[in-house]
Order: sequence, then structure tokens, then C-alpha cells
Amino acid sequence: MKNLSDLEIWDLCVKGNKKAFEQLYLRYYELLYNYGMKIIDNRFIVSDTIQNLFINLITKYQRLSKTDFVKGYIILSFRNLLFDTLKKRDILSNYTEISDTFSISSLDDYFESEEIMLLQIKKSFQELSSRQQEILYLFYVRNLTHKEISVVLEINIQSSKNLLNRSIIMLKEKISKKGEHI
Amino acid sequence: MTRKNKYSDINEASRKIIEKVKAQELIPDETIKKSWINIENELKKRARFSKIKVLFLAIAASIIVVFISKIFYDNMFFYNDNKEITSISNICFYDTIPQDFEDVALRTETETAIIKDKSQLQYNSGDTYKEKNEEELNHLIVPYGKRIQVILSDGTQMYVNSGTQLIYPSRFIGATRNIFIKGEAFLQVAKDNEHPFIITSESNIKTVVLGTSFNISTQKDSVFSVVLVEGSVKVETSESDIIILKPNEKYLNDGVSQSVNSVNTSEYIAWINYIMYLSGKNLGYVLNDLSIHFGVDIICDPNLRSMPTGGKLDLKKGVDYALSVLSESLDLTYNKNEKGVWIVKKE
Repeated sequence: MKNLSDLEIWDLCVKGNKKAFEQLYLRYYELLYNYGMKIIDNRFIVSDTIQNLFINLITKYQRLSKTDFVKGYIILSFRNLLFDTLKKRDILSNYTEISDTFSISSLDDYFESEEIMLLQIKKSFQELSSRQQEILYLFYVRNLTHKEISVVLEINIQSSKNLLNRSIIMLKEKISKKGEHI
Repeated sequence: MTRKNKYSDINEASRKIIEKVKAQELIPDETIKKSWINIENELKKRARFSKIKVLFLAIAASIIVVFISKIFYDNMFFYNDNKEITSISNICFYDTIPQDFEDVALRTETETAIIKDKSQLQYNSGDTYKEKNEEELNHLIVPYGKRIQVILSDGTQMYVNSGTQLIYPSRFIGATRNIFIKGEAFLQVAKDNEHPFIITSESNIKTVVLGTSFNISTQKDSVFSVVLVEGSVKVETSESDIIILKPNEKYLNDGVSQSVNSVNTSEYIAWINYIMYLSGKNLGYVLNDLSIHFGVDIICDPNLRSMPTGGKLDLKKGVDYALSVLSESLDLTYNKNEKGVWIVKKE
């Protein structure tokens, strides 16, 4: 089971194979957990949502259909379930707020170093919009392809490429501006 | 510095950041595998409920058949003189306390009693909802935002924290005194050297008590801890590992490894007096704890989550007061939305 590709695993899932779902869970838990925590910083809500997602997928496997973008589909389903949960508790009141919630709240969690360059990158990154931060995270840290990102963010592939390029350019500009003081 | 060098420095530093983030976000496979078990259990439960409906129709009235949680299998049979099983208890923990429990509740085989506005529950004093049978199992449910003090039939005192469930017999009969916990409680166990007091957690770790006071806590994801204030306890995990604790020591089991450390016990039992020590924890963590204690949803602006906090919070005056003290000390503001969710943000 471990050696099968995502597509092969998904084919088994669509047929209701529980071991296949378990393999999917083991592969994607870390991604979903860390992604979810950037949307809502509450580990109970996030881990419960991941489990509910898989319980739903397994019990309603007949409704699943073949897809070429397993990773993207899983993240998108998780994202939607998370938002439904947050909406129920009035933490988000409408759909447009979704794109504003992504936040790596403090890169200080990740660093002890005071190197000037890193500080500049940190600050510049946090000045980007939620959407820009999100696509940089998905592309560089989680290594999603543009095809997969287009599924998750519900935009087309070209928009994904444009957004990524704009985000990188924006980030570099901000970093350079800060660097001019040196 | 030429433009080319500048950009290669940026790229190098960016690469470092990405590597750091990836490393920080690693979750061990063991932890993930363990959490999958919750899904298996939930799926089994759903399958069993549909099977039991059919069974009830097929079986004669004198036999009671209900499913029980695996951990308690051995402890919940009642035998008559001929060593035949006469009944199987259906008392077992809820995975999460159902929303409809708004007050402390006491469940037995035959009924559920709601305990409103009482801060203490005492056995051996003649109230009707306790001790019907010799050794009737009681399931105490303390929802989030509530708490209660319980005095057991042997005189053991327990301060039970929010979001906790306990299972224990109304009277202790037998060689050992057994109770089961899912959540957090502070116990002052009555001394009885002939009858060891044993607390079993939902992850099947047994804490054997030798006449003492200590704080015991179980959390989601199999985290279990015991903080010993006075006396002596022995902690047995299912791997037949036995650890003996001395006063001011804390035993911690996170589901993967165990540790024993010296601690300042007042931090861990301050909750009994409605005080919460903040000791530098970040705001996100503190709001989470307050949320559990008061039984309400509390969230904050993402950028504020890692703000450090300090000092102590008095929880006796309620969530509004606690949030006002906390916000003032950090220059923040807060409000409550229509659905009762408390939101903390920048001024």
C-alpha cells in the first residue's frame, strides 16, 4: 500500500477500501494539520475536522469520483469542512472572509537567529496579503503543483502561476526596499 | 553589493526559512497512526449501532445486551455465586461529552440524574440518587464550564475539573478500590493500606495510590499526567512499566514516551482555587485553556496568538472579568458576538 501512487490509492478509495483511506490519512495528516492551524489556531477544531473529513469520506465512499488531483481535492474538502465548522460558530460570517484568514502568525516561532537578511524576509513576508502568503506556503513548503493549487484555491492554472509570480516579485521588492538602508 | 549577489543571498536565506518551517511542522508517524484509531472506533461504533437494533428484536426480555468499550471489558461483569455472568454494564465513557449535558450529571444503569447548583456530591449521606445497590457503578459527567467536588464512600475527596468524566462504584467492595478517569481531577485519597486505591485512565495507565494527594489529568491524543503533592503513587503503563513518584514530581506520558520532572505543584493545582498561572504561555494557549474552563468559544486575531502572558488570572469572577484583566495587561480589546463566541483583538 505504501508504494502506490496517490492516483492508485484514490482508485482503491473510490471502491471503499478502508486501508487505502488509512494510507491517505497517514500521508496527508501533517499537511492538513499545519495548514488548518494557519487558518484557525485551535488544535481541537483542526484535528476534529481532519477526523470528521475522513469519517465522511469513508462512510460516503460511493459518492466519490475519480480525480487526477487527489492532494488538491483532499485539501479543498478539508478547507470547506473547516469553514463550515467555523461558520457554525460564527467565527466567520461570510465566504469572502475565507481568503483573509490564512496567517503564519509569527515566524518568530520558527527562528532564533537575528541575521538581518532573515529578519527582512520575515517582515516582508508578513506584509504580503493572506492570499499571497498562502500560495507561497503551498508552493514552497508543501510543494503543491500549480494544478493542485488551482483545485484548492478554486482558480485556474494560469491565475495560480500569475499569483505566485506576483507574490514572489512583491516579496523581493519589499526585501530590497528594506535592504536599501544598509 | 551588486544586484546579482543581493538576490542570491535572498534566495539562500529564503531556502533556509523554508527548510526551518518544514522541520518545525513535522509530525511523528506514531502520533498520526494513533489518531487514526479514533476514526476506526467511530466507524465501529456506527456499524455496531445498526447491528444492535436488530439484536434487540431477536433476544428474549431477560437478557440485556449492549456493547461496551474494550478497556473496561474485564472490570464490568457482575458474577453471582455460580460464577455466571448475570449482567453486563453499559457504563462507559463518552468520547466527547454530548452537547446536551449543560450541568453535572450522574448516570447509573437505570437512570441519569442532573445535579444542578451543587458544588459537592457526597456518598453515604442518604440522598436518593446515590447508592441504590451494593456496588452500583456511577458515571459522573462534568461538562465544560462546570466543576464539582465529590466525596466517595471511603472518604476520598476529589475536586473534578471541567470537561471530565469519572466512573466509580457507589461503595467500594473488594480487594482494591477502583475508579476510572477521563479528564482532570485532584484527589486526596483516604488512607487504607489493606485496600490500594487504583485509578485507571482511558489509555489504560494505572495509578496506584498509597494514601496521598495528587493531581491527575488525561487529555486528547493520549496525553496523561500525574502531579504528586503529598504521599506516594505508583504509575503503571500498559507496557508493564512501573514508576514510583515522590512529592513535587510530575509524571507525563504523551502516548509515545514517558518522563518524570520536578515541578512547582502550586501551578498544577491552582485550578482548585479558581486561579490560573500564566507563566509566560502565549496568548493562543491561554485562551484555549480559558475556553475549556468556562465552556465557551474564545478566539483571537491570528497575529496576537504568540503574545507572551504572565502572572495569574482569577477565574472566580467569570469569563468576562478574566478576559478584561488579560486584555488590559496586553493592550487589547475583546467582545462577544451573537453566537456567544468571545473575540480578542487589537485596540
